[in-house]
Amino acid sequence: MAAAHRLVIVRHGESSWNQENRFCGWFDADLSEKGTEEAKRGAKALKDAGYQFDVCYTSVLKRAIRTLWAILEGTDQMWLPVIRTWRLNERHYGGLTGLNKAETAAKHGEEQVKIWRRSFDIPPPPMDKEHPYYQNISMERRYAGLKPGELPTCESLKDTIARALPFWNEEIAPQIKAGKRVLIAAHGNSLRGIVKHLEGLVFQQDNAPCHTARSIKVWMEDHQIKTLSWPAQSPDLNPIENL
Amino acid sequence: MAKCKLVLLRHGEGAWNKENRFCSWVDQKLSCAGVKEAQDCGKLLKELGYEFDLVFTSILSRSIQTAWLVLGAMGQEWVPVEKSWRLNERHYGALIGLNRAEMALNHGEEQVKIWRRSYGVMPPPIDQSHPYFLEIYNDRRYETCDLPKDKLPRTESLKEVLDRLLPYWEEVIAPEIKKGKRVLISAHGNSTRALLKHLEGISDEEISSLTLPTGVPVALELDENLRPTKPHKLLGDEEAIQAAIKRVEDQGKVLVPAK
Repeated sequence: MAAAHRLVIVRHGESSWNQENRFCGWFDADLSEKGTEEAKRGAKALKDAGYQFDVCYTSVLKRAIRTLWAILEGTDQMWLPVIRTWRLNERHYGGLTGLNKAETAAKHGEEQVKIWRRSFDIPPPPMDKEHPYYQNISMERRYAGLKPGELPTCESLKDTIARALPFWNEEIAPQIKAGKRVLIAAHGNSLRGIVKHLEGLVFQQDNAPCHTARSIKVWMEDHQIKTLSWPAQSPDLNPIENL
Repeated sequence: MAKCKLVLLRHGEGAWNKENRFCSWVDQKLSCAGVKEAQDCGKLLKELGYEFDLVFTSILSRSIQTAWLVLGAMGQEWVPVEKSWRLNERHYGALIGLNRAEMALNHGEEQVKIWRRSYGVMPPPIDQSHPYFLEIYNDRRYETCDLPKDKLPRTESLKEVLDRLLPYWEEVIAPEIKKGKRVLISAHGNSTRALLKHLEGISDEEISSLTLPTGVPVALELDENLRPTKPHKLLGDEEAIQAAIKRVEDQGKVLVPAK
């Protein structure tokens, strides 16, 4: 049977820090008992539906890796190749890492917290050397291979997507195009970036000056919106003729 | 002279080890005792301060499960794991699934010992009439190997194991060690013995008396040419190691039937 579904993405279940309502980010929290159960249920769902994979991708954080392991074990595919990458890590919450969400709201105000959590391009305060988790995260051996400037001290959602997408484009997408059935086990924000990209709009507009203004082009790029290239100011052309 | 550290590990007890059956390429998982062996091994390696950069396993679930449990106990789940059929357990041919004690009863302890421990004697090959033939060769994982499925073994002696393992060691594992990566190889009784034979230059005769206990990490220090600078060391408590060795050796013996 030709596979209709070649990509499955799974967001890991509850971590011990989700339970404690703390900003987790790059802290390597383990799955809670509930999260482990969630992973097993996910595995069973995939097994019952007969999903087979050819290659798997995950982050370097154990909550995603263990979710993947549960799926591989539950679907009897432990032998599959697995590629781990920091680029699929959860968004780096910078200076907020480890803080209790309620405490942060009390300290900075609910509005500011909302902005940090949900805005597209406003990063939280950076994680500096004095931060209690600096040693634990920034100095961690697993990030030793990152190039200068690659290791974040904090990320907005935009930053997360900007470092996740190159991996998608250069490593994952070619595998899918080659016919491989891919499984990605990762995190809320790294997956959001990919899904956003997949379900992406292709914006079609003519070359009226208001559409081609630089500020508009920059906004389009920032939001990863693909635009259909259009011959100079030809509003009569049928969109399909330009494909 | 830069020293490279390498750790070999034979996975712990699988369900069939308990039943004394040749498991080989049948994809058994670890038993509860085997899971504990792997967890304890991970704790030991963590206490001894081991850090890995790369892990190699076979494509049999029990060696992968062992690697996961060890990495989990060490908090090193993020370490890359590469898998290859070339680290698989020795293929026991037509003897797969047979109970060691029954074999010893039918063919004598000596013949079983020859099949198990001689260097070049292959058991009779597995064929389509064998109850586990389809379970093995219909498995999708054997379509992903670097050899076409019809070229994969139907039986092996230890010599054949080394013949198919050596290219993987030389082309994939050794270059990583030379780059300074600290490697863990989580594999099986015979694939680890074969590698050890090659690294330490153990003769065809001597290898038959080498028994690697399950769940006990084997530490090697290699020079820049990947030659050992000293004898391999079994890590852990001496009593526990001796008990583990005895457990493996007892598996070949005939069990006295209960009255």
